Amino acid sequence: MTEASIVRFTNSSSIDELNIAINIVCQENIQGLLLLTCVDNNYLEPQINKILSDCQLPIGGGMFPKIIYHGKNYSQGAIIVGLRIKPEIINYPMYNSDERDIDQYIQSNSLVIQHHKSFLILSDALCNASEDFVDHFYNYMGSGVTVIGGGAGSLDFLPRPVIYTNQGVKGYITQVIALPCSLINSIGHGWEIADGPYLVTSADGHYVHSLNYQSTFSLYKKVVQQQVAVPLSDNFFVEYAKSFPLGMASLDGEILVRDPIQTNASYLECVGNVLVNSMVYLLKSDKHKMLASTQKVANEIALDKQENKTLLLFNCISRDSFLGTDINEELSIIQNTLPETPLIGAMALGEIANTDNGSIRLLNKTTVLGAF
Amino acid sequence: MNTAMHIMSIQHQLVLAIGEETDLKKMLYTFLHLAGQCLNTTNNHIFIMQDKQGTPVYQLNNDASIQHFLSFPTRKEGIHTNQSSQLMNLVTDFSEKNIDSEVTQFNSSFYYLFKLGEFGVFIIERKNALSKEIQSALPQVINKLTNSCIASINYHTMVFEIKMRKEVEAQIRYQATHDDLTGLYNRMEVQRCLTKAIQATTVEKKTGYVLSINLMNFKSINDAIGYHVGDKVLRQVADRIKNSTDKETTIAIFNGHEFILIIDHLPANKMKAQLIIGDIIAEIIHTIEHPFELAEGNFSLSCFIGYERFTDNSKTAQDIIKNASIAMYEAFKKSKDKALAYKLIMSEQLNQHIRYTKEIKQALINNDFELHYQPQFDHLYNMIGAEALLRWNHPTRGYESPAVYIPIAEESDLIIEIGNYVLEQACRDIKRLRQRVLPTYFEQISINVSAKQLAKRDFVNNVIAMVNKYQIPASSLKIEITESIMMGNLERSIDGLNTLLKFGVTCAIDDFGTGYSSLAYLKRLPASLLKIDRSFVTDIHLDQSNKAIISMIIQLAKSVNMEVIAEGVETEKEVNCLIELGCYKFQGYYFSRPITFNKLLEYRH
Repeated sequence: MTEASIVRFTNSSSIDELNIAINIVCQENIQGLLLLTCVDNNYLEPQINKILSDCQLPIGGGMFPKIIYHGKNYSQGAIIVGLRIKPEIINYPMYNSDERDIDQYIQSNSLVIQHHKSFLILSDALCNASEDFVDHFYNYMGSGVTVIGGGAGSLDFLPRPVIYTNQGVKGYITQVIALPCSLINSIGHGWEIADGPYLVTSADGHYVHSLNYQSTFSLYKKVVQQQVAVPLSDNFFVEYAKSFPLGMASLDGEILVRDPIQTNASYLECVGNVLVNSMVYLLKSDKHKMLASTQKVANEIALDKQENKTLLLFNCISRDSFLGTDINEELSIIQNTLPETPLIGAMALGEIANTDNGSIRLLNKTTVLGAF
Repeated sequence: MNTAMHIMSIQHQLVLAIGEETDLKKMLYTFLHLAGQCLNTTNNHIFIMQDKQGTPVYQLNNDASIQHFLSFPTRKEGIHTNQSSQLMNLVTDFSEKNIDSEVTQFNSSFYYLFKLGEFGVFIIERKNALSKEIQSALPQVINKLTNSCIASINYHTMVFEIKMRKEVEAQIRYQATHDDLTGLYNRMEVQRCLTKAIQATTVEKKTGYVLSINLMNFKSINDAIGYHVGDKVLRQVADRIKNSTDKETTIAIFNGHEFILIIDHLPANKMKAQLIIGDIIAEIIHTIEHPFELAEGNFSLSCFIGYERFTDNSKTAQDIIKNASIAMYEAFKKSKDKALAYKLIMSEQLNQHIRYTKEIKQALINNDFELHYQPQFDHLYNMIGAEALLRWNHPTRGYESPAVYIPIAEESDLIIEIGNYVLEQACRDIKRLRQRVLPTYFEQISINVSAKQLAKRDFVNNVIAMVNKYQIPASSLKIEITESIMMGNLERSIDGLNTLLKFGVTCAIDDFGTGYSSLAYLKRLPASLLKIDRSFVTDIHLDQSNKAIISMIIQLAKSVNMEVIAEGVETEKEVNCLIELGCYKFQGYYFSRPITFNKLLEYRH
């Protein structure tokens, strides 16, 4: 069996290195390029745009806070994946419109990929419309498709173009890369219920205003306080939010994590929508639970009998900050479980995958591992 | 406790998702989407009773059946779920059962079916079974969903009916105000528009114009090629007029091919307004006269335009339109200027015309018409025949000039009635004439027949019937036609003349040389005599060009075996000149003025 892709890695932030690597990969018999690069490379836009527009092959990919190669993560560098299969890459500029328009928009732009079943989805993490897009994309493609992906961008949350296209590097878009091959995935996070449930009594998109008819911030502080021994100060959020995300439990026991990223001392803003009348829980985890979850994810992929030659990971950047130096241990678990295939990937700002029931969801604090 | 809260949460989320949305599809989309998340389903579907047009209904009727309406997501394993016969069978089986919900399992999926009243089915597809607690919590949600569906369908039906009614009303309104073929305004609407324009013009102290445009030659396209081509041409004319005027111009059509334009908001200054309207008229004439290129061929039209100015409300809309039409008619009648402004005298002339028409009708009833006869002679001064000439002896005005009343009669069907009178009176006179001793060389009486008369289907039978009625030899009657018959239905005219010739009635071509007919037709006409028009005869001995024309007419007649007779011969010199050129038959004052029948009877030469 031929490789689905060939991979070239550089830990250099130099755009020339990137260009050289792209040229080398392009000399192979490939039909498309996937670029995973670090935001901190600080590529100059005109230069990167020239490289992208000069390339005759379909290009997709994004800039992330960190990239993953062979069981290690890097804050600078680039991974150039030469795809031996011909990808169909569609870029969907995001805009505000009502739901029926989005359906129409997706339908009219997705005809060439309507019969595909394997997709990589990369979105600009700052684009709030991405979650809506994912919902509508799922409505269009239906159940039975496999998706992996994540949010591109940087931890400073400043708007910048982060998605690679043949027309240059773009912001505020969602990119779908349809692969004409089988893709398997496994997801896990290792977060479990610490307290709850709490009824969401007021929310608007990403903003959770009240839980159990109380200010979300007050309740959150109260319940987190019950989990930690030290008294919490008013600015406890910065230190503890990464350790105590919120979560929504499905009927079948799956927990969908919603990561609180900021507060105004009244509401909490999460990565992803939280619905009114839904129930949320306070979640907690530790290194062992997280690593155990990661092992499970790797095992599931390893169990699959297919000889997959590309192992692509979208791991939440918040896991990196939670695990600290132990993050490489997490990555090693995957690489060691699947030693024959080099693990590549990115630390993402929000992950995208189809859950057990098939629906494509925006995930938080999660490990999304795919193989094709 | 958590389970109870979870169930309550799901119930509330789902009920909230149903909401108050009136658009059924939108409401169900939101519901199915959320049901997918809350109930962790793989696919959700709604089947609803729909009529033949695919409109959802909730009351059973013979035309409606339960059909797929919406799924979220729209596909399963790449296949559109609206095409799934498996799902349809599931719904059909379930609908026939007298139960509100059911669960079946196949292809490693659980299918939960819930009835939406008697008109629909909601299906949840899951990988795992739903707990009993959740199942028992759903009927309340389904109940709310059912009621909301009914409300949405009702709302939609009501909105649809209102929309339909509005559309029908708009259509009726449109039909009542527009011409079907061109989409332009009709007579009623243009009058309304003009009334408004008059008011606005009066208030704003501006000037407005009404243009009446009549297409020439249009009728012949309809007659010769067919209405389908005429319609196309008319639509193109409408488009061209629209394109050559600004958007503010009101354009209407009535009487088939008469266009009415209202052009207002022009400057109060008469000269300035006249300049503008002159340019518009020139543009319209130019655009109409440009050939029409259709698949059926190229067609050319011309037009006459009459226009009337208005600056205040002293005249009604009806009067202004009427005046523009009168001016158009005047332009057409005079055929000198393509466009004429309305003048009061035009109305006076028209009224006179109308009065005259009435008087002609009355004259026919009162028997005020008479036939006078102008004898015809050969070069030996033998009377060889006579031409019957119509005279109107008006009870108060005396004898009227035929030059006045014949054109008026020709504009209406009165010319037919007059023609019938001439035919019968001439036959009656021939009979009386033959009861006397006729001059040796006297051959026949000729009567003039108009193109309109000749075109009548019963003309030939009428002539034969009259000849038979008065028991006169057919050869004693000759009919005179002019070249103008060639402008009408030539084939039918030729057929009729041939029938008459076989019967014995011969034919002469009157006023020859003044028409515009093709000489190629001359040979086809079964005429035995060419009458050289008086305009060539007068002073022929002094006019070389007329001499040449007459010489040519004589040669032409010889070549088609026709005889010639010169009309309007007034001097001996003319007679001698004509004899020199080869014409030996004459009619004119030199020989005899037209005389009454009694004088003809007494005529001795």
